[in-house]
Amino acid sequence: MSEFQRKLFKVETPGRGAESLASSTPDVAKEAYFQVNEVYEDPQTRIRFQTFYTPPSGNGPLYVFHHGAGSSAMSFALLARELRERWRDDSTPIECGVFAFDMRGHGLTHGGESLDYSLARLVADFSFVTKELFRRHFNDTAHPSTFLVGHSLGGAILTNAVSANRLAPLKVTGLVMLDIVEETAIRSLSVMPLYLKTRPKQFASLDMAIKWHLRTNLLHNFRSAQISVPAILSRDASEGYCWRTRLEDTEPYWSSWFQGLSSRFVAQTPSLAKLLILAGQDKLDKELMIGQMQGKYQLVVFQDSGHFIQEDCVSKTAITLVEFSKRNDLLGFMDQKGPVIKALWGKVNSI
Amino acid sequence: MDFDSDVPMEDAVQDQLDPSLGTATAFVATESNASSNITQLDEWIDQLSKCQPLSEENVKRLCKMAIEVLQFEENVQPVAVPVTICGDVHGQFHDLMELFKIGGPCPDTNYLFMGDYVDRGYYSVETVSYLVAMKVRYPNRITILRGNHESRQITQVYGFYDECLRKYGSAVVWKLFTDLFDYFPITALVDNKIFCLHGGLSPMIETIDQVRDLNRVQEVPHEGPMCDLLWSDPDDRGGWGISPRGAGFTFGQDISEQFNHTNDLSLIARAHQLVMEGYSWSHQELVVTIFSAPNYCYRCGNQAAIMEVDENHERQFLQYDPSVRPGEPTVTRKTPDYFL
Repeated sequence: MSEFQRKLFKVETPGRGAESLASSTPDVAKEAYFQVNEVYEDPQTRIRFQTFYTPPSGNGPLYVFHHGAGSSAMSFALLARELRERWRDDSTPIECGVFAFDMRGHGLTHGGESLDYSLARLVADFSFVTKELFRRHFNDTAHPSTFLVGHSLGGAILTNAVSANRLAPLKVTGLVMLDIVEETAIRSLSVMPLYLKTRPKQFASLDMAIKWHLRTNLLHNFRSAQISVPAILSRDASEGYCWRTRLEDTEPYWSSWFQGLSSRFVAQTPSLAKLLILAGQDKLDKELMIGQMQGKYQLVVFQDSGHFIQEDCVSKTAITLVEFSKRNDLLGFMDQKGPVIKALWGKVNSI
Repeated sequence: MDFDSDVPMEDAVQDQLDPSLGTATAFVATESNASSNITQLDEWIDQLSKCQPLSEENVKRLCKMAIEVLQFEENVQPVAVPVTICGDVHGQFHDLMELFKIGGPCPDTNYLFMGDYVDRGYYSVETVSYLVAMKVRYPNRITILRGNHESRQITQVYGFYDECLRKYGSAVVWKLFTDLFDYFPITALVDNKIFCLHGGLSPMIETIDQVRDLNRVQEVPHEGPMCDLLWSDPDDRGGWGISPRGAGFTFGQDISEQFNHTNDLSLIARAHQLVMEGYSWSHQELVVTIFSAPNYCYRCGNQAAIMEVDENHERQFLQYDPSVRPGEPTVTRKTPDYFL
C-alpha cells in the first residue's frame, strides 16, 4: 500500500463531542484561513462579491473554490488551510494559493436587485470574479496553474464556465466536482421544497444552529461547522439567527442548474484533468458511468462522508487534491523538469 | 486412470503428467481424492450455474483449491489456440451464462477472461465463484486474469464487499476471494502472438520478459508496472500520457507499434474500457478492446462481445445483448435530503 493509500484509509475522527460548543465562533479574518479579504464589485450587476484569497508562491498551483446553494466560502476554510499546510510539507519552496468567494445572495456578498439565480447568470458571476482576481493579482507572465473545485451547485457552475470558455485568461489545468451527479440532483429537487419548509426558520444562538447541522447529519465535522454555519446566518431583529440566503427564491431556477451536467463534464477536452469526488456510495448516472468506464475522468468515493465532503473529510479531500494536481500539472511546477511521467521507453507526449 | 465420472478428465490427467506444472494440482493427491474433488466441483458448478451461491465453508475449500492451481501459473500465462477471449463481466451473472451460450460451453471451448469479474453488477459472488470453480475444474481450458477490480481497495467501494456482507453476513467470503485474487495471473500470451491483459502497457515494461520478473502476488499497487498493466488505456494521442483515471497511463499508436515489434506480437487484446459495440479496434488493429458486460450496470445500453481466435489465428467477434431474465432486483436509490 502506498503512502497515499495509507493516508486515504486513515479514518478521520469527526471533531464532535469533547469540545465545548459554547466556545465562541472563530472570526474568519483573525483565524487567517485566507490572507486577503477583498470585495470585487461588478459594475454591471452592482453586486459586491466578498472574496477570500491567499496567493501561491514559487510556481505553486491555485485552487479556486465555488460553494453550492445555501452555503458560503467558509465551507472551504479548513480545506484551504489544510491544502496550504500539505504543500508546505513538501520541503520545496512551493506553496499553493487558495481562493474562495461568496456567490450572489450568499454569505457576505451584497447588492443586486431581485436576484437572478439562472445558471447563465451564475456562470457570468464566476467569470467576472475570476477575471477580477486575475486583473488584481496576476499578469501574463506570473500566472499559476489553476484547479477549479466546486461543491454541488458550485460544481455545475464551474463545469459550465469551463464548457462555455468563460475563464480566460485563467490557465485551468483541472476541474473537480464534489458530490454532484445530475440524475441524483434532479431527483432530489422534488423533495427540496418540503425540506426547506420544515427546516428551522431561526436559531436562538449560533451554538444551537451548529448543533442542528450536526444533529441532522447535514454536517459531520464540528470544527468545520463552527466556521461554516455562522457564515450562512445573520442576526435578526429578535436577536436570533436566521438564514442569510432565501433558498426558496432560487426554486424557479433549480431545473436549469443540473440539466446536461454529466455529459458536459465527461465531454471536456482530454487536456483538462477531471476529478469527481462522491460521498457515501458510487451513484453515477448513465453518462457518468459510461464516461468513468471509458476512462474519461477520475472517480473517488469517500464512504464516510456526507454531502459536504470538503467539510466532513478535510484531510482526505486535501490529500486527493494535492495528488490530483501533482499528477496532472503539465507546467511541471514541481521541479521544472516537466510532467511526472518517467518512461523507460517510448516518447512522452507533451500535450 | 479410471475416474468415476462421465466428464472427460483430460485436464486433471494432463496436469498430473506434466512435470512443468510441478505440483499445480497438489490437491489431486490421489486418484480417489481427485475423483471426489471432481465430483465436488461438478456439484458446485451445477449449483452456481443456477445462480445459487456456495456456502461459506465451500467457498473456503474452493479458494484453497484455486490457490493450488493459480500459484503455479505464470505472470505471462501461455495459452494455446483456439481460444475465446472475453472482457469485463462485473457481476452480471446471467450475461455470463449468455456468453457461454454464444461462445459454446466450457470445456468444449477454451476461454480466456481478462479480469473484472466483480463489482457493480448484482451477482459478483456467483460470477466469481463460478469462474473460479470452472478454473479449478478445467485448469487447462480456462484462464482467468486479474483486473483492476480484483483488489481489496476497489471492491470495498464498488459493490463486491457489500454484496458479500449481504449474502454471507460477514466479510469472510470477501477476504477469501480478495486473498485469492493476489494469485491471479496478470497477463496471458496466446500462441506467442496475442498479448492479453486487463488494462494496457506500462512505460516501465518494454518486453514481455520484464512482466515475468514482477512479483505479482500482492494487492494491486497504486502505481508502478503492475498497476499500469491493469489500468492503462490506448489513446489517439501519441506517446505516453497521463491517464485521466488517476492510475496507469495512456499510450499512443507509436507505443503499441514499438511494443508489438519488440515482442514479435500481432495483437494486444485488452478489456477495461466500455465500448458500445462490445469490441473496438485501436492503433490500426494493433490493439483491440473487448467488453463482455452488455448494458453495463443495467443502464449503459452497450452491446457485449467476445473474440474467437482459431488455430490459424483467424479472429471472429461475437456480439450479444443482455440476457432476458425475470426479476432483476430493482435497487431503490435513496433520495438525499439535501442536494444544492
